[in-house]
Amino acid sequence: MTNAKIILRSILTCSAILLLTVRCSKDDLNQINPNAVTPSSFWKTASDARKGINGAYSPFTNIWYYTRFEIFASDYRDDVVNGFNTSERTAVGYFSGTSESNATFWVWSAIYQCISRSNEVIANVPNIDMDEGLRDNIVGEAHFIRAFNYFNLLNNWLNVPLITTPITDIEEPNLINQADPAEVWAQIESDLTMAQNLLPDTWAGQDLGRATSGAASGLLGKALLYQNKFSEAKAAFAKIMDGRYMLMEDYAHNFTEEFENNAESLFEIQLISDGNGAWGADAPGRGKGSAYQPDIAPAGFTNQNGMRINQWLLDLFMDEKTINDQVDPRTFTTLFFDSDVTTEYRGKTLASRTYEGKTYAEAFPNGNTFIFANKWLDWEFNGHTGSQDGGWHGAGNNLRMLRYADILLMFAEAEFMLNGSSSEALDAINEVRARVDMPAFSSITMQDIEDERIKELTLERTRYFDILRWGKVVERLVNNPDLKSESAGTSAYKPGREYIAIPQNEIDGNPNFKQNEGY
Amino acid sequence: MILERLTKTSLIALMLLSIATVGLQAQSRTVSGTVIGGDDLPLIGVNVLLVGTNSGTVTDIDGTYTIEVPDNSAAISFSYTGYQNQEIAVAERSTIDVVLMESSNLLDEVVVVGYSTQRRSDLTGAVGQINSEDIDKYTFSDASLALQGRVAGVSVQAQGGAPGADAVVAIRGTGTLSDAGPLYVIDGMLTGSMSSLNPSDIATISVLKDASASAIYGSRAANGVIIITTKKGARGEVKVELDASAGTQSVINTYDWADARQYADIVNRADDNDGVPRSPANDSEFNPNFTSDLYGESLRNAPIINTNLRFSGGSENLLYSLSLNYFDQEGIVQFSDFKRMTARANTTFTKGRFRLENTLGVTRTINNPNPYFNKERNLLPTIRLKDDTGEWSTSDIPNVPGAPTLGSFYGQGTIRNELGMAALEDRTVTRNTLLANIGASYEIIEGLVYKLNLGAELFDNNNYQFTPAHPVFVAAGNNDFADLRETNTRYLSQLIEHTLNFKRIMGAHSFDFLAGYTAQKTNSRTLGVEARRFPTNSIRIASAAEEISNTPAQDLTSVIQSAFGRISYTFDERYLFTATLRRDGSSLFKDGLRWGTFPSMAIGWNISNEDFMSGINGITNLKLRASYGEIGSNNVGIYTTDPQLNLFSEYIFGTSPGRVPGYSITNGVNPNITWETTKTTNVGVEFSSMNNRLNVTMDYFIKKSEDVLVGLRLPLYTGFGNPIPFNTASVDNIGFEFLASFADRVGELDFNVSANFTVVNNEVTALGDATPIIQGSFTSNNINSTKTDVGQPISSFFGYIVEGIYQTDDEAAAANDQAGNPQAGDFKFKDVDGDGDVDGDDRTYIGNPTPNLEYAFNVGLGYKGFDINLFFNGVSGNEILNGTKYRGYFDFNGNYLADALNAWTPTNSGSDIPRNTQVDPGFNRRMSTFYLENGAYFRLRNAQIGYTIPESVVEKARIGSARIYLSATNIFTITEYTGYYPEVGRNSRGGSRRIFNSGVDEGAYPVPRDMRIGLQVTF
Repeated sequence: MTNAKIILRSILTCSAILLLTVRCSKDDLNQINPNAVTPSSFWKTASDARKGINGAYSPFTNIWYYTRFEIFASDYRDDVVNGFNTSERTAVGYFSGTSESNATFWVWSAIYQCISRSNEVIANVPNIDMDEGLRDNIVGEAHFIRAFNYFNLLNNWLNVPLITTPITDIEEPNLINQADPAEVWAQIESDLTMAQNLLPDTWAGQDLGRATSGAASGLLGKALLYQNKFSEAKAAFAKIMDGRYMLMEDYAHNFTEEFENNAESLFEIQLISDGNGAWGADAPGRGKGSAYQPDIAPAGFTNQNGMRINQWLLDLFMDEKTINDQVDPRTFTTLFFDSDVTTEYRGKTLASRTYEGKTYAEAFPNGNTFIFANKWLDWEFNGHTGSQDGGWHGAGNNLRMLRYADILLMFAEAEFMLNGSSSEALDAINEVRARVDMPAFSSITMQDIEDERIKELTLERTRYFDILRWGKVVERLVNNPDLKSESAGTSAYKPGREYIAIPQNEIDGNPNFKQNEGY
Repeated sequence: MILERLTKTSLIALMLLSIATVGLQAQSRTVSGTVIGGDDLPLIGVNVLLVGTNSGTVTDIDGTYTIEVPDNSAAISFSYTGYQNQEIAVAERSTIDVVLMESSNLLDEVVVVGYSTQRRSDLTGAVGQINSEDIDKYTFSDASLALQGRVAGVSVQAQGGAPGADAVVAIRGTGTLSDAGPLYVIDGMLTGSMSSLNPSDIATISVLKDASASAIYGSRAANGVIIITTKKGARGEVKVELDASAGTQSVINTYDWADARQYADIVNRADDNDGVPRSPANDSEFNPNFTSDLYGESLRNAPIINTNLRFSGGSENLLYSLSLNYFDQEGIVQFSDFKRMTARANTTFTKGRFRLENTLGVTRTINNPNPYFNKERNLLPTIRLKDDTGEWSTSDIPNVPGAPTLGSFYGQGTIRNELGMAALEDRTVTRNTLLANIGASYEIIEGLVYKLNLGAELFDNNNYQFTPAHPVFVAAGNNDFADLRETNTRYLSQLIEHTLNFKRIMGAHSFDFLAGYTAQKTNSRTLGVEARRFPTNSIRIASAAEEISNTPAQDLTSVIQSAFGRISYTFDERYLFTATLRRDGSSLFKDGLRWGTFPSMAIGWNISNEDFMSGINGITNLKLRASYGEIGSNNVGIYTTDPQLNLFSEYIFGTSPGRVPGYSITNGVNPNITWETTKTTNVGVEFSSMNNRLNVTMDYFIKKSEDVLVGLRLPLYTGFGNPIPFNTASVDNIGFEFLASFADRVGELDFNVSANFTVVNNEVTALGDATPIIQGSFTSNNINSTKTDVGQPISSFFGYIVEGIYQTDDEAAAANDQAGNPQAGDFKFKDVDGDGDVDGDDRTYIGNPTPNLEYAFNVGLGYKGFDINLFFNGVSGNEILNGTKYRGYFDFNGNYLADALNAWTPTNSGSDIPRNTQVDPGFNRRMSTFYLENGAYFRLRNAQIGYTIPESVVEKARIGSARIYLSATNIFTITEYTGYYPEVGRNSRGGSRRIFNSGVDEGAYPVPRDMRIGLQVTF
């Protein structure tokens, strides 16, 4: 070959290669995610507002929150529940929780998901051009959700960061400080006052289950009572004691799927049993039923073998008889215990029964003597033999977070603290007692109110927070290690451990964070 | 679009180029002769090639050849595997007889490197290579296992022994906090796995270990690069090779689980200790007829067969090879099996300056896994696996009114019949894969070659699972209706590469320049369906379901575009220099962070070629080399940098409750992430002696991985629960590799021995703002076992130290345990910080799941017709978490180990097993040294004994050659580990990253022992 040929051939080849190479587009490197909506295109329409507020409710059904793990941060910590076994998730129940425990991490996490999503709604929805009434309602719901969750935070952790704007609006979110609890209380009051005004009294049809004005008032009263602001609390409760709520005739109807969102109910965690399972949230087709029932069910019926009930509670129930000289009907709804006693109530004969209608002797032929829980287990509804019928996430029984009986008792307490055993206080507590055929009080003490709350509200996520606000954690729990005899006693208690440890993750991620006392 | 257009234009260009090829015309005559080996025997099949051309022939049965030569200036080259090449000038001779000397000289070995090949003597980087001779000696179920123990610095760990399971391949330690593995280049196609390959199709596996070798692959090279070439045909008649083997596999070690009587005794004692009434099934109503042996029934001896058939051959212009493989492995665990069928067609066409290479591999795999084996929460031994009617069941309580509940009769615990579930459930993963590559090259002028390489990987994957309606599933907590989950994924990866390679020798100077441009685009699109409530269990198709509950779908695309170059220069075969540079742009990263440059440089010195070495006969080769380079790992999920709204934050509302859609931002995003960078310094020595019979290679490396992505959990109050990736971690791997081989012949005994070992120290040197990573769960009861923190190896075991057992309640109370309330018979945990209590501060680092020493030996012997090959390997310096101990001693959800009977009691106070309790107030179950066992092992991994039938016999049968062999794996293993097998891989529980579950063994699918008999016949 001649040199010329070589050169020609080289040039030809090289230019062909160059041509091919240069034509490759850089645009190919910009790949847009075709699977999801981007946040920048959101918050434009009424439909966006609806989806946004629904998303703020959604963490309530996260397995980390009310569908399961919340119970380890509430009822498992009280003096009624004696949890079997030691474990990382139940550790907080016997003061052994650490900043790394799951109960600490998970519940906190889900709570702040509710809060951050509410903050987005409150910041963005008012700018959407849409029906004003609906817009107010949605913003009101967000205020309610935010307050509800800060209430849980304060009572569990006390020293928490107060965030009320979208996190992206905060310049250095990892440097914010924990708020003074008083500030958080103030925010809760302000949110609930807003919610009270923005929300409707009722929701109908497919909106049933959303927060209402009455729920906001009730929670506001509760928040005020927890701060010992008795007269303001009384006023808040009085506002909704106007006939819009009433006690269900049958006490047991507050704990079954059949009577969800009933006349007594102010706010419920909405659950469904539709066959969907799988762990987790915010993913397609995840379960939206509850899975905490195995943690409270009698031994041997579920795989969790969670806990038993301390004897003193049954003793308390047995200490007093109905007007017909029978056992308080609430005993049978609340507990499963080894006794043949029965009570005639609303045309039914109540006896100690659990899943599949079993008697204690049938359930424990070998002579177990433990007392177990029965509330929420809903084994009678819709052909169920047990609330775990549908497997994990199976139970569709709504969890009542605030009901009118509680409002009446809190009203009575506020009034009692203001004016003693007044007729207003007596009327309120006696209304609750009358529903279960218990004789009316003619005068009351604080102990009577406490006892009534226990009998009415056990396993309704209130007992621990009552003894906390009354300053009785040491007296009731720490000094009675037998109440936690099935796990590790109470020796791990240190002053300050009334509250849960701030999750290690927050301490590690924010140099300004301080761990709670006692950890 | 872009790629397709590119492909089309490139093809046109190639056609034009090929038209320009020129044929050669010349005056010719013939030369003939005989080729013999050092033992004066004729050598059959020696390649005889006219130097500078592709024309040639092979020697026949008498070692003779005839070749046409153009003129007297021609030269002939003689090459034969295992012998030194010779080149002889023809001059005026017409007969040329040749004696070839045997060679164990690795220096002439051609090593596959990125986009090219090099003589080993010219290498400046650390490259390990194994050839088909090494692979074909043994039988492997998965191609990656062929690498195990063969290349210093490469760790291959099987993920248990499940048929079809991938192995974990780590090169020079782990420099990332993710599961990212090496980059695989199969016949030029870049991909993520080699499991679609038939092991016996492999011609070479080359592992690029240091940056000098791997930087040419830029942002995907940091976890190492494995280049695989598959077998091509050789010039000559059609050769038919058949290799068929069949055998059986068996379990190596088993656990001693309690039988019904032992179980009842253990639980009765626990109930007594706990003050709980005994369960009827264990006590008053114990029925010796109601027993089960779940693991005895679950394990079996299982057949394995493998058949390879290969046709190959070639003419002057065309080389071809077609191979077919059928591999069928039943699992040693019931209801698991795996089948692989592959077909591979490779052709090489050469005409003058033009060369076209095609490789095409088609693979179909059918995997039926058993995901239920040895799972937590299984059947109690007091319950039969099947009821009177022969149906799988979970209870022997008669179904009569007033019958006791499961729990009150059997005691607490979940009762799942895992064998019944595995039997009833239908699970199949079917994948059809096509891996194809077309490489066309043209020599433009002498030494300058342009190559266009087009690659495609395509698969469709069907993942099907049907759970019938059956009481066994209801008892396990599933729904009482049938459930179908089926997902189809279509995957396509397209690659285009242009390279220009210029090689020239000018006197003492030798140059090799490479420049290239490449683009690769991958897309995977998934559509699935979840359906339930079927008319009967026998209809298993989604359209028959009453309800479609979900239709998961996804579409993922990524693109990478790159330019690269390499300069190699050698002076006088003494001084070597190599520099490479690659620039990558990736769609995984945002604009501005997208482009990365990855340089490397290396020098080598062939000391043995220096004049002053010429008098030293003992050393035939001595080379020093050193390299430094920076390589990347684009270890990020597709679209990770895009903020997005979650569309599935639903809630329930309504008088008739129903789901309503909710949106939310659930994931925080860091758009500013980029690739991880690994800076590798490598120093190596190669040494040969005794006329190259002894070869030694040693390498010392410092691998510093920086900008490693670590999930930073933002404070949870941000509302983001996900760990957000930041490039803030660093990991160091510092190690030493040694490889030696020796081969010789004594009389009629041929033998070769090779040994290698690798020492690697792994340490996390920074995490940035990220908190230590806690993972390694081995139970669904949330007990974590590993912690990854600065100053420690990745995924170190972290927990309490067991010091013994409390002998008295007073002693237990005095320990002031904050996590439990121990009494006599419970574990005594060490007060590590000496502050008078036992609490979270007393946890410490108690083990490392990663061996710091891995070693292997290979011995090959040949005597007359017999050959024996033995391959030993071992690891040490690691611990394994034997998670079965958790279930066997503590967990009430299932059976106990028989050894739980030997627990501490006041009269058996010398026991090191804590007292039987189901309540466990002392929290004996917490993560502690109790679970850890020494993970070191030494084993005879593979062995093969073969006999080649003498030619005199074979000839009568009109076949070329025949060999029969016995092959076996895991013949013996020396270990203290009490689990199934000390090769455990990474547990899959909890967390998306399995690396943090390294060495956590929940009773993974046991690695089997495999014994086979095989026959190889060549026609």
